Amino acid sequence: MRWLDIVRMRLRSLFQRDSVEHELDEELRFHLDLQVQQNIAAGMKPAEARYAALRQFGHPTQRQEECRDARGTRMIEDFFEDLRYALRGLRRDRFLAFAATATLAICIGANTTVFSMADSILIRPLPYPGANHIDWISERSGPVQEDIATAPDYYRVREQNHIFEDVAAFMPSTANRTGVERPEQLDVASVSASFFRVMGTEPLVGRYLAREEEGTKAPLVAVLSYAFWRNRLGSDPHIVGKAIALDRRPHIIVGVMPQGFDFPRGTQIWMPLHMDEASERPIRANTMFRILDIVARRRPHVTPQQADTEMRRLTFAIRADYPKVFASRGFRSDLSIGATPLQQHLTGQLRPALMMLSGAVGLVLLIACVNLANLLLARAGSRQRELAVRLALGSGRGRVIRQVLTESLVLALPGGLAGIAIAWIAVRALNAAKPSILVAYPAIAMDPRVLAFTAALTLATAILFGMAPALSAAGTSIQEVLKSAGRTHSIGRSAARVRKLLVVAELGVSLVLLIGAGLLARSFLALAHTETGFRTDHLLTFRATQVGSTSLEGRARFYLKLLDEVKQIPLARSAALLSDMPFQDTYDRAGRVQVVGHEPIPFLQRPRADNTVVSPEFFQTLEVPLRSGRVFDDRDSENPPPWW
Amino acid sequence: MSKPTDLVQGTLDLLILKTLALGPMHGWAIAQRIQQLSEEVLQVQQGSLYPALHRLEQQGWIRAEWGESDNNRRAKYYSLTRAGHRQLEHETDSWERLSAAISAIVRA
Repeated sequence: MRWLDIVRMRLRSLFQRDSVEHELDEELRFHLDLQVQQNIAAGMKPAEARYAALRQFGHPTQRQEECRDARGTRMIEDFFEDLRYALRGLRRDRFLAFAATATLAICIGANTTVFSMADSILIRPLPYPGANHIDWISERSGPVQEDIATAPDYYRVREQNHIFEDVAAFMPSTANRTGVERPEQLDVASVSASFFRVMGTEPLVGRYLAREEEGTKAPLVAVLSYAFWRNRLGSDPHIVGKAIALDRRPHIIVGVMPQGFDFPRGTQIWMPLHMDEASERPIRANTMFRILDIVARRRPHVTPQQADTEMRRLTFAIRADYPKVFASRGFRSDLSIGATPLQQHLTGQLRPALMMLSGAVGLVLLIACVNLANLLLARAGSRQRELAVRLALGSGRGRVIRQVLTESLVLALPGGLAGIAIAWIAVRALNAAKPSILVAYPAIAMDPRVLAFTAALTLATAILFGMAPALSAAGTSIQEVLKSAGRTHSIGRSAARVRKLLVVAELGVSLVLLIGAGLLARSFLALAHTETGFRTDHLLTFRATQVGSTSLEGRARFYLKLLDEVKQIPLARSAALLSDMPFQDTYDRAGRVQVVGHEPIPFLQRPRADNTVVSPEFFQTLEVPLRSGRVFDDRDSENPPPWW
Repeated sequence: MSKPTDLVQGTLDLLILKTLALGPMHGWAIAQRIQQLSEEVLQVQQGSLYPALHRLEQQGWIRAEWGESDNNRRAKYYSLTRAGHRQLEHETDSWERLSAAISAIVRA
């Protein structure tokens, strides 16, 4: 086994260095002694014989060096030698070691934290099979990308089967679980039967919706999320076929999805989407569209760009089918359907923020590198003598560069390790606190990729801040330095120039960072001082959905009774009903406004006004100040004013 | 008589392998042997023998063992491994091809 022999030998040269060296000595001495004896036997005097033997042999020290080179482990041995030397040097210079470790720990920690965020949110693929083939289909128009889709869109996109294998529509909503001791509101999603095929995920237990389980006649069935099945139903293995009451109607459970399937995020139960193709497909002049979300799975060979282009083409086709309707409703001319990869859609808002954050921490690390390079250069000034002596004794310049770089690696390594520790703590804190901007995203994890990133970063850092001192060391002029022996001397002119350049670069980068941070802080302060128009302290909110009665009176009675009961709670000062929370996206409730008596405007060109339905106590409860006039009260609810 | 010819680059390995094919021996003996067999034409610069020996050992073609020499001193004996035998055949082949080619040119 030739390679086994080789490995054994390399290991021996590395780890039993003393005995290997001793053997080398003994071997060469043996040879010289034999040669001396032979020379004496040939008639030389002992001293002469020894001299002749040495001449025949060549310089023994040099030969020894060549033998060491032949071992093939020279680089590693040198490295360990440099390592020992660097450690000894740092023990003498504790301030430098401490400054470098602390600076790098913070900077590398920050970079690792931001990278693990970017990795978890932007890079790591969604946990669905073939997730990079899932597209989000939506309408966009104008500068505000409204990102919604409608039922007519769904029926048209579904026909594009040369691009998509499957197209699914879904609507997130809530449902009340009834028929149990403590009813609760659940997050549900009504989905078309193709939904699970698009997401490419098989159920853990039972089945998902069958092809015919959609449309107006779809049976009342339900697919459960893993979390709901485990936490609320005790992981009942015989759950399939049992019924669960949702909004007082029994739904037959047909399947349970596996752990990790969480789309749309937070969904506890999926059920069939009841849609009527005959009435919802056509685009008519005066009906409202159903607003829903669409996802589609691209065919294997179709790229995201192709899908997007095809969707734009489809928009023109639809428009050509209904020229009158489009004209009378006043669709914007730039309205178009588009396809975006699902991951990009889900992370779209966070992407620029994360990029900016990565840039900022990267710059901070750069500043740290420049600082350390400066510190090392200052130190190199006092070490020039030592380096000159090494060069004079025959050390190669490449060898000196390697030695200085090893030193900077020794400086960077503890910083990198401490950085990982800091990032670990930061990631845990972020996951625990879950700032609102991260709620919609999976937990941040530090995986092997993050650790590899940090290792590479540490190495790059070491090379970066070690480069300046290494090059200045290699440029040491032996003569000049040794001539100035005994005198204290300043560092060379070139090194001084490098240091000046470093300071300029550092100032520049710091300025960029400071300006960026200043602007951010100003925006934050401005945001924090924005007038909300109401008092946010001492305000509690909760959601309630009434089920059962569908008559307007019945629902009004329910909510008024609920309001009365909340007002009875001793700790409550006042309470109000409202259809939507302040600042909540109420796109689908926004109304188009036409001022009475003005020239009629096509429907979609009318200005839009968000509206929220509230009870009279709203203004008092949120302490909304009244500028003039009065707020409405019970008088206003019965009969609309005559001009309506 | 002219000066002993310097060894052609890279042929030292071949000479060492060939010499060791006769049986295990230590460095000094190898140097003597090469000199004798070449009838003093080839003068091995004795010191350069050792880096070559160590390199061949690192490549797994020869193996070293410590043993007793004739004058009862500890000496390092080298011997050919199985891989070394194969390498020797290989190097002999290429040497014969090379020298045949060169002599053909020189005689032409």
